[in-house]
Amino acid sequence: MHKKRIALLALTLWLILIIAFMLLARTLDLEIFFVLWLIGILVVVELVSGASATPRYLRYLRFVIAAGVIIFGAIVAQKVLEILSR
Amino acid sequence: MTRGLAGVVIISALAALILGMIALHATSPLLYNPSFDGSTPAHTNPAGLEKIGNDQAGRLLPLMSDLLDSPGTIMVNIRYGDLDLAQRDLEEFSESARSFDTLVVNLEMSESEIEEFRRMNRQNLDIMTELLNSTSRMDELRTLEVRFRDSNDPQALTSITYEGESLRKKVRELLTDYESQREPMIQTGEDLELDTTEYQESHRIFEEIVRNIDEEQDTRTRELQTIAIPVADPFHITMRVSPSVVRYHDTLVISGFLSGPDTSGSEIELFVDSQRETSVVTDPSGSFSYKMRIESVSPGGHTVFSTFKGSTFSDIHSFTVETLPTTLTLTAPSAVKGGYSISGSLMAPDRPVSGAGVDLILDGRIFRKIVTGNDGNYQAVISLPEGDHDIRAVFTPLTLPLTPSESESRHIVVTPEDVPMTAPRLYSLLFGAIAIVVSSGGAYYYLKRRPGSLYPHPFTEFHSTNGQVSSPPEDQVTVTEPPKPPLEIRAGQTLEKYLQEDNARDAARLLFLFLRAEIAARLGLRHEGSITAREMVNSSKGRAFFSPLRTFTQIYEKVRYDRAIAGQEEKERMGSAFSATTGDLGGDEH
Repeated sequence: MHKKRIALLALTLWLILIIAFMLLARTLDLEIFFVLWLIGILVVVELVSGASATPRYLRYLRFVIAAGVIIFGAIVAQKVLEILSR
Repeated sequence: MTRGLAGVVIISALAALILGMIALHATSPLLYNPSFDGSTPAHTNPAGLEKIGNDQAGRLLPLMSDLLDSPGTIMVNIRYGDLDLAQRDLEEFSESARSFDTLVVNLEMSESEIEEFRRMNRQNLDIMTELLNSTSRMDELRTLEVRFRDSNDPQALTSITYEGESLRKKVRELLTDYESQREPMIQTGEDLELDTTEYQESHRIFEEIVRNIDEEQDTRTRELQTIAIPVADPFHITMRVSPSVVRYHDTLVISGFLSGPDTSGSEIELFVDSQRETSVVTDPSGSFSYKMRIESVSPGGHTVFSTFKGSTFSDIHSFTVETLPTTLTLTAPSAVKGGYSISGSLMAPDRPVSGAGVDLILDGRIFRKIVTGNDGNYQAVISLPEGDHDIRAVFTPLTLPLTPSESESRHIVVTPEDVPMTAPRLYSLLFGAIAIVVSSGGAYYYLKRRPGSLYPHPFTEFHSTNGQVSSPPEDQVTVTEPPKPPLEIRAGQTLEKYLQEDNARDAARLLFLFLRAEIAARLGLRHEGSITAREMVNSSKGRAFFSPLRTFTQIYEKVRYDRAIAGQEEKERMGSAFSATTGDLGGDEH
């Protein structure tokens, strides 16, 4: 199977798993979903991309991940401030 | 082509729709949890209630059981005269009470029956501490009594008897206080299925201790009258205390008269509850008077006596302090510069309570303590975080003869515009900005760390004529592009750098990058940064430089990826293959 399809399948399964556990815990939280998606996509991209060359279909994904890292930083800052204000 | 375009449009539209839906919830990302289930404020899904840590809740009941047993253990030791052991038990009791207090706060059970138990347990601890102090002093009096009787000192014996009387009163009051807690403590214990046998037994022991002290004091008083015959004392103190019942902020007048030879200007010492309160000087007629304002005096009975020169004693008098109810008010918080103004008053009931601490409770937690002024009013400006808040004031009397009170709760909604720019908020904004900058730095690193992007473009290295690597000033790049040297010169410079480079792998990469840039430009290959050496060779089929390039690639892959470090011979071979390729490239160009 093509690497691209394996990556897509793995990420889809990971997201389904997250949603399933959220439903079991009876809590749907976009923040947690976002952070777990980011972890998943980082792992998938690292595994799919080669050592010396980047497949074309991953090239623009790097910008999406970079934006995700910034949002992740904002979420962490917000959580820290929430804890400090208690 | 049209189908492909339609697919892209549909997928883009769907992605935009989903991102838009997510953006709508960005400010409150928690989409659902069981606490959302309540259809009205009066209905709550139990699964949504805040969970109690099992380990902490598990510690609660054993600790309560220990606390119920502790007074009994202390009293057994007091009854058998082992005061050192009783002291150690008291310290353990105090430690357990502290742990219990912390646990109740952590579990947020401040409104429950547990909180009531905690409060009564604190009072039990105070009673035990007082009882131990009193019995210790009683023990000392016993020793002193023997000594003074041996030395036949009737004045000292009188003093001891008076103090013993005072202690007896105090212990009786402690018993009354302890008894008042009996029913609620036992009720709470039984509700929680705790064993209250030892606690009930402790009441019986307490009564026995009081009975023993009574007997001892009766004997002492009897012996003072019969055995210790006082020597002729030329002085005599008569004293009166009025009124006999006082309340908070009343004035108690202790007055008396010292009779005897030359009593003018004599110093009389006044004792309240066996503690020296003050000393007063008699006027020329021998009278003295002292006005005592009732403030921090515990409710209940108290004793007063006076002495002159430590040998002449007055009779023991008593007075009672009654508890007054209090009223605590809290006005609606109003927005002022720098936050919200909170004010109110504490009255008991018609007189102001001054210098008392009022706790402000914000959303169930103690937020700040404010001290009342002389008129009983209190006022503070507080800053509140954004959101809905409930605020109320609570007064706990501690040692004042007043009842606790609580104001009505006030609801306040703080909008973002109302939140003042205070120092903590500035720090929060600063912290947020730093977090965004750091995460942006992380994102930039992520983008730049990919293979290929860490290496500078070969052309950027050749703007300097002395062979050193330097980037041209930005204005030169944007305004006038310097003319590109001929391929032979640039290839020669790269080869020179290649030969100077000690690391064979890095050196090989220099040549590869040069060739890749040249060939990609020449053949019009897209995405130059991701082209591998083999892809470059495959793309060059049919060109003049194909053969030397293939040789170069074979050596390059060996030098670059082989485990063994390339030797001088391979380095030279690679240089030759590079020269041959660039030579053919030049030919191809012409």
